[in-house]
Amino acid sequence: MDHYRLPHQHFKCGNALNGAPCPLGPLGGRCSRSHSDASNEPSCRPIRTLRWWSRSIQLATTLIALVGVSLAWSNIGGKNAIAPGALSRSHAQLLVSTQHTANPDLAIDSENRCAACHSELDGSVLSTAAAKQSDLCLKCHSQDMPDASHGSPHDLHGRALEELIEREDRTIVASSWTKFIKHASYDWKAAPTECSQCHREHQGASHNLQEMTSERCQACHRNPFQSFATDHPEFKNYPYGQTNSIEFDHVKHRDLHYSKKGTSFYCKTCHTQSDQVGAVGQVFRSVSFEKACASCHTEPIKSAIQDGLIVLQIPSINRNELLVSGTDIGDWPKQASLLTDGVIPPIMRMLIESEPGGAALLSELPASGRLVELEPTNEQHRDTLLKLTATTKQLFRKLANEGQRGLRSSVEKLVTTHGSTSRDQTRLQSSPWLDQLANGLPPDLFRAAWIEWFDDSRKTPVISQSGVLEPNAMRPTAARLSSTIRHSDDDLLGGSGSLLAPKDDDLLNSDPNSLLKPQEADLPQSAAFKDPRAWDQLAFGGWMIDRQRMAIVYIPRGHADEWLSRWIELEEMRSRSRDASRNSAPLDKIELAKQCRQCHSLQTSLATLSSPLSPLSPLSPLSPSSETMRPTDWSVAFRRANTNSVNAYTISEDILAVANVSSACWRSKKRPANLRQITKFDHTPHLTLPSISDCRTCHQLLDTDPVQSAPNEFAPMQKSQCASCHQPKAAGDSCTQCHNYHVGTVGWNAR
Amino acid sequence: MRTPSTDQVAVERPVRWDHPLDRDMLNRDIQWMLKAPPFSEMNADVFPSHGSLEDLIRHDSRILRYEPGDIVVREGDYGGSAYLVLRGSVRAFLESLWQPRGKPSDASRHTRWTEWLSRRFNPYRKTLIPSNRGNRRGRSRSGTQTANADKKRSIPIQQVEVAEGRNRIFLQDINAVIDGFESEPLGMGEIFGEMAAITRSQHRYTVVAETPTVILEIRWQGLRMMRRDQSFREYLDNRFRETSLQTHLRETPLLRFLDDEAMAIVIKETIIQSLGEREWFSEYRDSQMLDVQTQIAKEPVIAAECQAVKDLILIRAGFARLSFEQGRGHQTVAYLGRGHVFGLSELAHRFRNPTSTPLPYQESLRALGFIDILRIPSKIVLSHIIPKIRSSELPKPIANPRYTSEGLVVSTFLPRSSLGNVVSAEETLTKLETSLVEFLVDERLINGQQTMLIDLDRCTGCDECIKACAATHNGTPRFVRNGPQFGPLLFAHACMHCADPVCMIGCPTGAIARDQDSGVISIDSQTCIGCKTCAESCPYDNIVMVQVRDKQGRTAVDRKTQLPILQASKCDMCHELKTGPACQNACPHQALFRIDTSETAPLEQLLSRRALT
Amino acid sequence: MIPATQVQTRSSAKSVRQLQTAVGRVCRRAMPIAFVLVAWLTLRSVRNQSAASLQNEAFVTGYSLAAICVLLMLLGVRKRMVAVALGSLSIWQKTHHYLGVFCVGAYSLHAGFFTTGWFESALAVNFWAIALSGIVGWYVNHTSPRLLRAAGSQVLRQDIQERSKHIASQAYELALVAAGNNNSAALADHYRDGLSRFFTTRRSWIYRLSPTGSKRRRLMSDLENVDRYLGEEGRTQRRKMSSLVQAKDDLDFQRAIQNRMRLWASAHTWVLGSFLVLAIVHIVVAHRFTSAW
Repeated sequence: MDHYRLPHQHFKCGNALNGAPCPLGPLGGRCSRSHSDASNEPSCRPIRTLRWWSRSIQLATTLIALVGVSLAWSNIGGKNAIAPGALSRSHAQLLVSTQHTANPDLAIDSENRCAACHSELDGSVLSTAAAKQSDLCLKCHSQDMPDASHGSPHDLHGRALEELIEREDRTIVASSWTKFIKHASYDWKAAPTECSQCHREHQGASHNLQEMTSERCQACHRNPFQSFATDHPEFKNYPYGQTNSIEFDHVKHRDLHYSKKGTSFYCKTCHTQSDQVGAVGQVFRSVSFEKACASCHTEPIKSAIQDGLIVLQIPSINRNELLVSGTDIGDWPKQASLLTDGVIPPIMRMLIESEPGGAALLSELPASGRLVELEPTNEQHRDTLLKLTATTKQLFRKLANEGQRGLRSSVEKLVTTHGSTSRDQTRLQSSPWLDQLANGLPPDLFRAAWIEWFDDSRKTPVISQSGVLEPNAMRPTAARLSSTIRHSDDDLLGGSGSLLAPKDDDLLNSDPNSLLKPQEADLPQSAAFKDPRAWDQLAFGGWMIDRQRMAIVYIPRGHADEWLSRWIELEEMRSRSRDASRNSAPLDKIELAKQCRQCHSLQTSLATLSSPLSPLSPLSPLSPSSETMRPTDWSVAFRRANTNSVNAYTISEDILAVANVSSACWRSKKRPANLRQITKFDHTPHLTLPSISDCRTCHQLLDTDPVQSAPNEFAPMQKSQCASCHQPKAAGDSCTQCHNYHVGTVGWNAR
Repeated sequence: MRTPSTDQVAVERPVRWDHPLDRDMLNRDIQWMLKAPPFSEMNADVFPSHGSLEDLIRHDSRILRYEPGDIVVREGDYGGSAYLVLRGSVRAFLESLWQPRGKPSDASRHTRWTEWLSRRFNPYRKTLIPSNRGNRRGRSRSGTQTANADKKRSIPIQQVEVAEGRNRIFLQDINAVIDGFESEPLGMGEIFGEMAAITRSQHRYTVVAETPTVILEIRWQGLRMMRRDQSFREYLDNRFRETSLQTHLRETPLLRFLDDEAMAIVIKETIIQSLGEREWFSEYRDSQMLDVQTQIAKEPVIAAECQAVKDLILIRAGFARLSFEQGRGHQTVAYLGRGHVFGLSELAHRFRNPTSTPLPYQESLRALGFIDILRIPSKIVLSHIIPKIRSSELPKPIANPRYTSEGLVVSTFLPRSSLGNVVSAEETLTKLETSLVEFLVDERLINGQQTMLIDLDRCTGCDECIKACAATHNGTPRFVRNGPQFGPLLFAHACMHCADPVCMIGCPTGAIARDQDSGVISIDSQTCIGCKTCAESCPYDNIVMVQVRDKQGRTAVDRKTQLPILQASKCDMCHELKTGPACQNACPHQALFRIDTSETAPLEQLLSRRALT
Repeated sequence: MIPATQVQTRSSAKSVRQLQTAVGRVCRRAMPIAFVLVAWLTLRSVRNQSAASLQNEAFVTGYSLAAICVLLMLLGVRKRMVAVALGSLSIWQKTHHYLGVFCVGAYSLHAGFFTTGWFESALAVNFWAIALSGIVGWYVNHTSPRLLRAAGSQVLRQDIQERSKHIASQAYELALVAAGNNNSAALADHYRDGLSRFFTTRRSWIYRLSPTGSKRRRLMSDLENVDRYLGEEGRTQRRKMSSLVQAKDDLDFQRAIQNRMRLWASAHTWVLGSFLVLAIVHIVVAHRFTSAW
């Protein structure tokens, strides 16, 4: 052993190869002999040891790393270098494409597109002031989830959230160790939820940003939840228990009607519509009348409506008795002068009500509504009759002279009396709903009726104490008439075409000029035309004079007649607005409406529609949330005047404003597809499976004859039905498969 | 005259006696001592001019003053000096004052569980050399205790206090101790501790100052010079027989039950003999060139096999090879160290059956290097010693002898190695495979007490050990990861801190010295003059001359000659570290151990553990 | 007979000790592995926990990973401080190994096995470089020493070069001597034709990657074939030459294996610096760009 071998030397003596290393060894990479000329031996070229190499490699790699990092920070490499991974497809293309956008604060320049989501990159890298990332997300996403900015559970807040949390706390199972182990509670109040907590970006282009593990749901929903089959609560009457405005008795149809007709009772004929997609796929609660019901229901409706709807009817009054008792009601058609009898039809009653003092008059009329009960001997009754006749003439005169405007104005009165507190004239003026109520009324029909029944120009004027038409008073009347004729003439020409056909011959025989000719007034007429029957000539609906019933009759246009439905709505809410005592008067019920109400339960629809939408009902995972309405339209239209009395409904401004709103209460309620709810379901994938492609596998009709009280004739679905397929290994049972986190849509939390 | 370059620094070349034992020796004292015996009897002519007697006293000695009860020399310590009583008197205790020195109980408990821990982590961790080696002395102690248990006495208590700069260690109630223990007084002009000093061994006895005493301490370098004087040498030898031999015999376990007159006879009859060169390493070097058989042939024979047993042989110091003729060569059975006895089993056999013809020596004993032995004639042994030996301690009878009085026994059914006596070689010795024993002996590794052993089945050559070593010795390691190799065992070139440290022999300045407590031999860089003596005398090439560097790593060169200044460097067991040798701690693969190869037990344990894990 | 009984007792004692140590070894190996496993499972559950509470689980795993890396690097620190009592290095090394395994486990929890993104990929590459080099290094260190023992007595790596030079010169001189003599000239020729290259040049890359004894065997047999052209002293020289070939081959083998060991050991540290840099930047970036936490 001649010398020690020094460890961790970077160099070793070059002479070692010759077997004669100098004991001192190289100093700092140079031969020690080159330092001191103490020895004259030749200096060597020191050899680099492995240690030297590895040391230099270490330095090199470190240097490379430093340079690379600095490049990444500087814009040379672009900030993308430090991105942990590729963006998901949607975001990636978005970031690139939205360089030129109308909205300046959505503009992204491709250099630092990172700043679009990372506000840290706005300023210097180490600037601490940074906008919250979620706000940046919502720059683009606020349209479909405006409330996400609150960072509250399910984007809910206010009462909705409270109810949700209450419900969650109620359903929490008493502490179990699993809860202790695996469910950490997430205090959203302390730190509002951020988008990036669940939606992890930079996971590669194909990464699904929306996928979320069930554990994460458990951060708030603390019930130990292992699998759908074991831990999910049982359904409550899912998906039924939702009252519908169209009552359809499946059992009866299947057992009686279809079997009678010998046609097969097949769900998909009525419930699927291949050309559009709804919230639950291509399956709908109901399809159009034409598609589903028309085949059977057109005829009955036709036969029901052929007698038409009496708008104005001249009550028959024993004129002579009145004359005897010294009361003259003036001109009165002799057909209606024999005896006092008849009933005031509901629409006429409404019109009367709209007249000054009409409400009082109606109250004076007998409760049964039958005029027979009015005794001419009775002073008061005579007075009533007098008023009645006067009002009747007044109505005729009004409709004849002012025509549709007159009708509208009187309806307006009704609305303002029964309607909401709003006295906003302009709104009343511009209410399409009111327009539709007055729509299509032919004034000259009334005029013709007037001339036929009340015009006594040829007769000698009768002196009477009161309410007498002076003969000379007729002229101006006639002149006024002629003027109105002309006026209403072009009114007709520009009027609704539906009435043109019947009106033409009306025009002929009720030509005012011909009216001026005295004697050849009726004979040739009666000779020339036989008295028309409604169902002969007005097969497709319209207005006519019914000379037998002494009435102006409207014949609806089959199913879903606009004018009629408007008036039924009016009647409905008028009856609602009345106080309970007189509410149930059959007199005010429109007879025809019965037909409609067979299928259209206006009551329930109004009730459900108008009740303020409970946020919990669609949100709670337990509620039958498959059928819900948008929070707008009827519920808003018919708003509770006071929450105590359920039936006290009043018209609000909105119905006046929105034209087609009211029609919603006729139609079956459709859930809007764009509304995100807690529970989601799509029929499409299920129906593709042959095993369950038959609707009845899930929706089983209860064969027991359903009592009308129970809304659902179907057996409620059991969880086990879903759980049979939705297993972890099979169809999957993650929370997000059936439940949305972000619920609602624009204005969801408005109230 | 060139100017030294930046990486060198010019210094004075150190010379001998730069660092005398005592700087302020007064001339007056020296002169006075020269006039008093024993120095007055020496003739100054035998001393060379550069190292006159006066210089010796001036540089290699110092004057110490002791109060009554002060401990001058403590048994078990490694002696570096001889002591001459100048005034007053001291007491030398012929028997042990203490049980084998141990730490206080609480400390021991502490060490015990730390030991436990360390053994959990590192099963090969070994403690340093105990300051009194070997269990034999321990046994002897207990023996002595029981021998005179009738005497009512208490273990003397040492106390330490600091007086004039150095801390004096003294015995409480010295008189009681003197009454309690057998001791002999030493008066003016008497010398003690010289044997330990010369043989570089431990002090056998404790010496305590009885009265206020003045003592001249002479370190062994000086003492060696003084031995040049004839009369002084004889004086020392005589003194040895009187004191040291008795102590030694008393400590020999075999003789511990001898009564005094028997002991006296034994002492009278015993022959002191020392064989081999004191500086054995040089001829060992030469003989290494030769093949093994001739080497063995050259080794001086102490007792030859197949010869009548003349006397019982006790080994006082050094090592001896126990071998028998195998074919044309010699097969080494074992090596015997200090305290071993040879020939007892043959004598016991003769004692057991006196009628039959006595057996000759079954093996032959050869001196390895320098060895001190005592020969006790067989008749004394048979008459006085063996009767006093517990039968349980007697060696087992020789079942099938290798030699009888007729000569060689040709045994067909037993290997020769299983013949002969297996007693003088203790059980442990026979466990090591012969080849390893021979290897150890041939390489003289039997000398090592802290031999660095590297398990080549584990060592990956990561040099962590060397790095650690270099780190602890500012940048320069103190060993080379290479050396004699036996199978998977590599005996690295690191100082073994030998039982017989021949390296210490030549050192002119005493720079290389053995630490009294730990037994670690280290070189004092202050006093080393780079004379290469130790490096050359080390038979194992474990001392390397290195260039002296200062902290900046600049090499020191001589002011005058501008030649680099060398110094001897060797492993110092990192004695300034608490953690023990850094190399062993630094080995990541548990491949490096320091073990005591002068005994075989540690090596066996190691090998068995290695074989199993 | 006493020796026999002694042998028996000794052997039985030995077998007992064998059993004990075998059990001990199993425990020594099994316990840390169990520890690692438990630690990994714990970390995993903690990660899931934080994920379930809508936190970013990457931070939990990431910081534990960082902590582990720091612990791993402490080994290097420990190697540099020898004077301090920190327990023997072998314990540190073992801990380092098991901790390293755990580190890979933690990494898989943190980043998975495939990484996207430039920066992250660079970091991952560094990590894997370090981890794999460590594993391979461990294997090499574990197996090589026994290989080395097969190839003669050990030679210090520093000395190999000069040793081989020495051997080469010996061979050369031997050849010179042989050339001088008529009935050993064939040996010299053989040396000139084939052996000289073997002695003077380093071995091929293939050999250095996976050293085999095939070439040595070929050379040896060739040498022996030369015998027929040699006289008596020529044969002795030939034997010397063979032994030299043997020595040279052993030396080459030693060199290859030792270099392999050292290389893997140092390769473990090559990208350490860059790994540190990237890791720190990674932490900063993670904190900067993960809003909402």
